[in-house]
Parts: sequence; structure tokens; C-alpha cells
Amino acid sequence: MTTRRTAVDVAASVAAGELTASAVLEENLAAIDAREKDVHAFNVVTADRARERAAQIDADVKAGRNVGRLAGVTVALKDNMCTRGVATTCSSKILEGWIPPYDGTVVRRLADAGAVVVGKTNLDEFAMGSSTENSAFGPTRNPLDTSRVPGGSSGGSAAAVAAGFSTVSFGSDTGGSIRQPAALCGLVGVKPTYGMVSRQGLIAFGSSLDQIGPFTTTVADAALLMEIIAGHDPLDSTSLPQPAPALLPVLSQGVKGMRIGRITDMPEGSSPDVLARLDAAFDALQHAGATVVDVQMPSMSYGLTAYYLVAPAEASSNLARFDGVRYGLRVDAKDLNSMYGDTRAAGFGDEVKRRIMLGTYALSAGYYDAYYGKALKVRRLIADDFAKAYQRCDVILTPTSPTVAFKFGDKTSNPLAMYLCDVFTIPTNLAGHAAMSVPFGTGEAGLPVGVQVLAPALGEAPMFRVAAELERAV
Amino acid sequence: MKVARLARLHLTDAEVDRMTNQLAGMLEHFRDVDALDLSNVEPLSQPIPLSNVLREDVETPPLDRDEVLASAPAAQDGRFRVPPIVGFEE
Repeated sequence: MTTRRTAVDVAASVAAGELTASAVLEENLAAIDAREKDVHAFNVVTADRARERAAQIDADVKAGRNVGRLAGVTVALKDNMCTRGVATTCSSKILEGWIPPYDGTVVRRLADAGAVVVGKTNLDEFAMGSSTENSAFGPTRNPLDTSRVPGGSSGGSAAAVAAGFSTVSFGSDTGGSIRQPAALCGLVGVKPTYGMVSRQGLIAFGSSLDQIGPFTTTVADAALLMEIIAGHDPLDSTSLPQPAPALLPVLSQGVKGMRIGRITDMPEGSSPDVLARLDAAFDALQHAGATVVDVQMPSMSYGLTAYYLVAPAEASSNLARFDGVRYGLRVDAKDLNSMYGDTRAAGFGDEVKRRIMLGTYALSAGYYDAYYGKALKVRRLIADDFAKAYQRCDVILTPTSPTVAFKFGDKTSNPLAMYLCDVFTIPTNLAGHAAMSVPFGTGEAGLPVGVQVLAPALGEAPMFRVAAELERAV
Repeated sequence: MKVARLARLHLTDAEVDRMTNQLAGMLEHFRDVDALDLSNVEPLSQPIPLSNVLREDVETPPLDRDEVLASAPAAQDGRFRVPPIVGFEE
């Protein structure tokens, strides 16, 4: 594609009658026709529904009715977000044939704001993975180089925006599943503060970690989308009482006087091209008037262990609901227990089985204290280290991913190597904080490098100020 | 394998072998935290503590039953249909 439309521009132009929602949609559908067979971003493209919706918005504009702040903005939704009347699969065979009877809160807020849903995107099954290779429906390819992964688990959502299949998209982030694919596909990706965005209608993976967030081509688009999807929801018991923060106004404030944390004891293993871009990001912020301060995060490298015990433990509990009774697949058997075991064996893929087993083990009698209990204590250390660091700085910069996008199959045989992709993103989820990835130039093979801006809980405003400055500096 | 039974997963012998190896490798890696002194550390299970809230008991429309049952694996008489739970014969 030659031109990239932003959500800010589309919404303004459509509302003003200078551009039709239908024209925007047709550009996306043409891009999908041309490249989707190579990229495989989608589990389903809902072209007919999207055309109806776009026509409705165009009619509303013509009639002078209020069309909302996202009028005509095309969105792709990760296929773990419930959409009424459209299959929602989590890229798993176990949900085959299930059609949600309701829309999740974020889906509803987007629709109310005038967005047009183009389709449901591919993911690592139940959001478990860092490359989108674990999907039951086959991998998604990185549109920038189809021999490489788009990252994961929200790889389909990242690929959809990077390929021009939709203006923006949404994913979910449990340990980095928005930020890492955003970095690998050259996009902005936001993991909001825990509780900032409602998870009603998001099929749960790790309930103390999951958050929904946007993928965009610009920081301003991410700010606009956050203003629409954030804010209290009575249907999610972990939803914070705060209203959505005003983020668009902070983008022009600059970073003069801000304190940017540099972790001196950062986990090793990042490639030199990525570290060079991180250095350049610190320089750019300093040049713009910020101060760089050294902070320590001695517990950071232990985050991986804590996460890969906590997340599978929560998943093993959350995924107990997929038992062949209420939705999706059932393998018939003579009694209920055999039906459970056979259905789950046939419906879940390898990585999901591995994590259910790991989580079940970590929670089982006799091992709880040694594994799950210990993981929760490490989680506390990480939160404490962050609290200490944030006494000295406003935000912290790290790489988002230790490397640029890797080749297919590079890490599939060794689960631990795959898990190491998340070393910089996981601590944020464990602490419940906010973080985002911002594209900041290119590294090896000309592929994008993402810089991660970490902020404390409810630190979205300073985080977006810094992200906007980085975007200006590229 | 006991864990598979607890997780209600009927795994093949080959799957059990492979996973036992992989899980053993991971658990070995997870011993890295043994280097930390955790004796006086409080566990953290929810990142942002919130207290439970009660709402007014206001009637709202429930999910449409027919719509819910339409994508169930088996339904009968307005209910989910399941295999025998008790008292079945071989």
C-alpha cells in the first residue's frame, strides 16, 4: 500500500463528509484480497457486515446524525474478543461452532463510536505464545517479511494493521502479547494499566494479568482509541472506578523536565541492533529536555519464572470451562468424565495442553507452596522494585523484544527459548502497570525495532507524552 | 499421569513422555528463584487491590436462551444435554 490512513484522519474526514466510510473499507478489502492469502491475519473477514455498517455510517453522516469519534475507522479484533453473531474461536478447535450470544464491552464501545469491524484476527491458541505459530488454523506471517513471524500472541491483529487490512486493531496482552507483535511489525501497541479497560467479553487466559489494548500506526491513534475503550465498566469486577484518561491533549506537551529511567541491571541477551536503538531513544529524549536517571530492577529477570507459573496456573483454572458441555466441540463418550477428557484432548493444541499441565501441577497439593506460592512472592518483589524505581523516574525505557522479528520455526522446538521473548514485557503485567511499544527505527535486515515505555499504574499520561516525543524523534 | 487426570486431559503415552520431559526442563529453569530470600515477602495475587462492590438489584435482560443453546454441542428441552453423570452401566 502507498498511503496509510490514520484513525484520527479517517474519523475527522468521514464525520465532515469529505470521505466515505465505504471508501475506506473498500481500500482495506482490496488490500485483503491482494495479500491475505500470504499473510493469514484473519480467522474470518466479515466483509458483508462491514459493508452494511459502513453504508449505515455514510447514511448517518448524510442525514446529519451524530456518528461518533471513530466514524468509519476500520478495526480488526483479536479472535478472543466476543462478537455477537460472529464466531469467536481463540484459534482453537475446542470452540469450533461456537457463536457468542453477546458483544464484549470494548466491542460495543467501538461500535457505538462508529468503528467498522473488518474481521477477527488469528492468535496463538488461547493467546499462549509469542509468534502466532501455535494457532490451530496455521500461522500468521509478518507482512514486512513473510519468512518471519509477526510476534504473538496477537500476531494477526499486528499483521492486519501492518498490511493495511484495517486502520487499527485490538489485541490482548497477558505477558507482552500486544507490545511484542507491535514491535516486530513496526506499530504502536499499548498494554493499559490493569483494570483500565474492561475485559467483559474477553475470553480469559490469566485473569490477574490480561488487558485489552490497541495496535496503531501512530501514537495519536493509540491515544484516541484509549480514550474510547478505557473507563469503568460495571460488568467487569476488576474494572477500576476511574473514567477514561484524556490522552490526546498530552501528546504535544513534550518531555522537558521529565525523568527517564535506564535500568542498569537489565536482563542480558538483547541483540546489539536493538540495544543501539534503545541508546538512540535515550539520546533523543535527553535532547528534547528530559533527564536520564539510572535505576535498578534486580528482580526483573526472575519475572519469567513468576509469570510462567502464575499465568499457566490461572489458565488451567480459566480453561476448565471448555469441557464439551456449553460451547464448541464435544467428543461423545460413555460418561461425563470420559467426555471431558476426550473433548479436551481433541480440542486443545500442544502449547495449551503444556500450560494446563504446568498450571495444574503448580497448583496441586504438595507443590503449591514450592511453585505457585513462591511465584506470588517473586511477583511482590517485582512490584516493590518498580515502586522504588518510580521514586526516581517518571517512566522507564527498555527494548520491547530482545530481537527483531525471527524466522518461522526458530523457537518452536524449545518452549523456554520462546518464553524468553517476553523477558522485558512480563514484569509490567505482573505489577499491573501500563506500558507501550513505540517503533523507533530499524535493526537487523531493515526490520523494525520497538522501544518500550514503562509507566506505573495509571501512568498513561506521562507514558503517552514520552511515546509522542519518540515518534517525533524518529 | 496424575496431573493429566487432574486437568481432565486424556493424553497419549507419547504426549505424556514428551510433556514430562518439557515440564521437567521448565521446572528446572524455574529453580532460579531459589537464589532469592523470600522468607519475609508477602505474596501478591492481584496487582491492584480492589474491594468488592455491591450494586442495586436491578433487573436486566439475560442472554437469549435459544441463542445460547444454538451453539451448544447438544441441547434438549431448553437445557444443555450431557452424557450420564451417575448410575450408568458399561
